[in-house]
Amino acid sequence: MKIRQAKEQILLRVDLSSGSIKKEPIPEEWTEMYLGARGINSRLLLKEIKNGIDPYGPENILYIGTGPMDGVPIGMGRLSIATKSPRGCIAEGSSGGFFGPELRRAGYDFIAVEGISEKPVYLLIQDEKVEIKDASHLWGKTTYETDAALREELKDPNFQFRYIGPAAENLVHSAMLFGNLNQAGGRAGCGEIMGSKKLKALAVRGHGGIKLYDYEGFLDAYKDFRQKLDLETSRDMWTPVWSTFGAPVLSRLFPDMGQLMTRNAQEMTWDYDKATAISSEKYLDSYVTKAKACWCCPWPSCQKLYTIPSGKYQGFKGGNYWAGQPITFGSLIDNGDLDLLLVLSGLCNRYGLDIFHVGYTLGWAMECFEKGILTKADTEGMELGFGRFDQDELINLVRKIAYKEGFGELLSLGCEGAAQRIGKGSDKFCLSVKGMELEAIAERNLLMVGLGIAVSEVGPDHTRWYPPYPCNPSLLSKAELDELGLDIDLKLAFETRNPDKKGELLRWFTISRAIVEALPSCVFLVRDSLGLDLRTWWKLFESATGIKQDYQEFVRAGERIMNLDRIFNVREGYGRKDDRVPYRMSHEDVKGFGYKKIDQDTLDTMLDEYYSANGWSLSTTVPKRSKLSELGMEELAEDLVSKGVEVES
Amino acid sequence: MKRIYVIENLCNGCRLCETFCSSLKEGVFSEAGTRIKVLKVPGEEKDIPLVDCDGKCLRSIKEKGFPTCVSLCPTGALYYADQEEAVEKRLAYEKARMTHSLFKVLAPWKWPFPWMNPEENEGQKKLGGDV
Amino acid sequence: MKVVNLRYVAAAYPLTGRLYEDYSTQADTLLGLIEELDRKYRGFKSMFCDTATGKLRINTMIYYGDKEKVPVAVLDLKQPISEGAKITFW
Repeated sequence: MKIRQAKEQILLRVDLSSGSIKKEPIPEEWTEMYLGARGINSRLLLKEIKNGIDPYGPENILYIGTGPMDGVPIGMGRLSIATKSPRGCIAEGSSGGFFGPELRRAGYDFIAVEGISEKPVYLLIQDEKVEIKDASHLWGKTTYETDAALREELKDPNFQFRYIGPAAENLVHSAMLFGNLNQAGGRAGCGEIMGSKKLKALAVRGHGGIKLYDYEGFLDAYKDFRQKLDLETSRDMWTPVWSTFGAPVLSRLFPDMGQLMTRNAQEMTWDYDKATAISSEKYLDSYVTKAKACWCCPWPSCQKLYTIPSGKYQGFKGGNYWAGQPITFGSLIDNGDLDLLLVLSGLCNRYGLDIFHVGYTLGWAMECFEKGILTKADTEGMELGFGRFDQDELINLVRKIAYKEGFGELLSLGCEGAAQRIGKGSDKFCLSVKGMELEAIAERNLLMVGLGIAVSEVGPDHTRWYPPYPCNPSLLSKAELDELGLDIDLKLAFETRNPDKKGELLRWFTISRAIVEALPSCVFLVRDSLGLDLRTWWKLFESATGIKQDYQEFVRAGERIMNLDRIFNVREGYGRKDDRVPYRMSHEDVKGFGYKKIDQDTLDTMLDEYYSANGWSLSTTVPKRSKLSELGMEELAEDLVSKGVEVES
Repeated sequence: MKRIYVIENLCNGCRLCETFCSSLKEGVFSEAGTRIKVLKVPGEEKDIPLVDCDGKCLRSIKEKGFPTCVSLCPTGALYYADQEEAVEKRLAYEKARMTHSLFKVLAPWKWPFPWMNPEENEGQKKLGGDV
Repeated sequence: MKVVNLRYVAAAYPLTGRLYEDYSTQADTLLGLIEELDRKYRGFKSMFCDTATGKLRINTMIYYGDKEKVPVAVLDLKQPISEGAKITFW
């Protein structure tokens, strides 16, 4: 058995145009500065992708990476997937499952796929042996069909896969990568890029082992980790809720609080009976067949498999009903039928579609239909009002989106792309930022969320600063909080509708979550004091890798990753004008709840504070030279200047 | 004599058990050298822990006196008991499973809150509530 | 007697076996209500009240909203309750 040290990181470089396959070490200095996974991916993106390239061209590179803590029971199988998005900005997302540890055991940590294959292929990695295999028999198959076909072909049940479905093959906006049937990742454009390269799947099998630098030290830190996350001992009310019932419980809380996006967020509350009908409790009672988890997760059942027990869709199977679907296929389109919701969600997984793209674009289309901007002539005769649609037609529409057929072709563009084509003021109904649709969380009552979706470099992605509600600072003393860099006025920062201190708080959360994603580990596990106190993560990292840094240096890795992502975007022409909230959020108050719109003055207050706290220019958002120097990234300042980007001192 | 018992329905396939077990001897995390292995049935629909161990663990990482796999299992799919206790525990799980859907995903002894235990709350409404 | 609308979410559901109910109470405070509910659902009080401090347990949450008002997270179990209040336990 080949044994690797946890800190070792190896890149497998595959050129689909030439067929070449090479192995390269990741410099140890990078592991110290950026950790792994998302951090290294962000660094690779800046180093290897020239600004201005065509995202669909051969020069774009798709990176799939794990890190030092995967293959080690902290990694949770997390995988970072990154590339240049078709929207021009950075695309980065993560997913869980089992691919990461298998990749590490095979001897690799990153896969960089460049070039474009002439015909569909898949990458087969079996320890030292790496091959580019014909995938013409897989092309066109759904994700479920691809999984089954690969299992049949490769026989060994321990192979792990990542694949795309027909949506990514057809370059549908925001199409994703999938694995273990329902583990999705890379919604920011990664699936499309994989499809553009005609790479259908990656298959990996590894027989190696991962050795820690300090096993005993790791076990001590691990026990502390488990103490904070186990149901019996966690000092956090979200631990038992998230880990058993799951996020759809929020459908029973959000309506009363004006936080549930309903009918394309025209309202923020919904009929409580409908919300209950699609709740976690109903799901668990009648649909759940089994608990599932990612690799080495300490939680019992963040994920679940389901089967529809009766009715028209009896027998339909799927998995991972979480926070997004109660909104995207529930309140947003005014659907209180859980059977239909689960079918729509399950089909998105099979076709490889992003549920947020499909849900918010349907919401946009429904609002356009109700306001006469779209008519039955556009929808191929479909009635498309909120809560007024034929279920089978809606199901068929999801298929049409994946295959860009008929009316589905318009919706496959995403709501901004569709609005651009339709015009007539329909862009005002788009719930999207930087061309990417929103997620599940309301903005106008949680101003940090509004700021978070505005500034996120990939587009709205709450995992970049999760969780959206305040953590419990009483678990730590004031001295500890100050030592951890949380010498922010937390009382003010946690006032959800006061714009003050949101920039500073968001900065802290973004840095800390970048660290968790770079280790990698799962951002859902920032519970108990783990969300505010990164020292447990620091000790786990040090004991696993032997990389000894003081705590502040460890935290600096997260700040570096933030700056890498911002630099990527400014090189592509993104700036302050792109850090905004959707039109509805900036122009409309929330009806019935007194939450005000996030007008430009409010946003500007938060943006100024955020950029200033980060050491970025207030006008261009470019990181200042002094900040980059502080982070040991001076060469990036020179690189920006050489590309004609002004860098302030 | 105590040994490790398995409730297959509760296994979520996380592989914490086999991963830690593999490391106990030499500190290397792999799939080799483990005395418990999770068989994953294609289609993700079944995860079955196969135990090849007498329960005398090389070291107890979390709870003294308990095999590491049992003490780390998040769902309670593994438990360590003598035969009499094993019967009681299994019955407790089966009854709980019939009482509330929560126990599709978790063993009742892992749930840190009170719940409507059928033996203590005869008058309680059963599964389904007011839905 | 007041009638309050109670919701039982996530962890409160396996204890009550219900998702919600309109409940008639004689209690004036949230703590009083919890004590009444404890007689109906054994273990309800110990679930939400830390017996040592009398405060809300750190791993539970209660949202309280007077009629027509947006619910907020409860900090003090001794807070009064009023007719038509909406209270979510989890």
